[in-house]
Amino acid sequence: MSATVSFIFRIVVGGIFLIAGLAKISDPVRFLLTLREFQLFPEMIIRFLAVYLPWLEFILGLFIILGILYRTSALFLAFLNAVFTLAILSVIIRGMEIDCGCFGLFADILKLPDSADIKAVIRNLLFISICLYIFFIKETVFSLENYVNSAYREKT
Amino acid sequence: MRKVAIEILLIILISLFLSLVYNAVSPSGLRILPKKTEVRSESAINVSDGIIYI
Repeated sequence: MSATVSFIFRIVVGGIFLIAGLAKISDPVRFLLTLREFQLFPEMIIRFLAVYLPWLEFILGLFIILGILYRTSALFLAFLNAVFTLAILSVIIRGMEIDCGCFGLFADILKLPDSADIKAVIRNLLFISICLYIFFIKETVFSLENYVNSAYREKT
Repeated sequence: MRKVAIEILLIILISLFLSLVYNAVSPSGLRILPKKTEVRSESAINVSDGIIYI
């Protein structure tokens, strides 16, 4: 039962971050402008994050879906979401009203709420819980890692 | 613990490599490092078309 739940969570969370990463990869300028609005880092760091973060999200989402290094990816994603949550909380405390930039272009296309507000914080806390569940529950189904490990055990 | 650290490093390196390569080849790639600004002297003289500008 917990293996099936872990698999469902993997598909949901992995899918969301894979799509979110793709949305930002396809429009890096938009993501750069959003990061600037947070007013947290110097320009060069912002430019590096605008290039790197979308790909990190994409790879983590892909690995979680495929079940390759999925537990470590889930843990890393939980940490990433914790950082995003702190950034959004800093925006709320400073009284700023900006986009969170979580879903990039897809937020406009699919009319998803994408403000840096308390709903985004709650959403991120939910993602953190799901990622920690995936990390701590060792059993899962349909994972490439399990397939490779069992094939290796059969050979030896 | 060590296994998790190595796996995290691997994920960081893979995504870093892909991001830098994609950014370099993509037409919408961003400049990460600041551009060197050119400083022109106010008294520079240009004689390229036979006219001297000061």
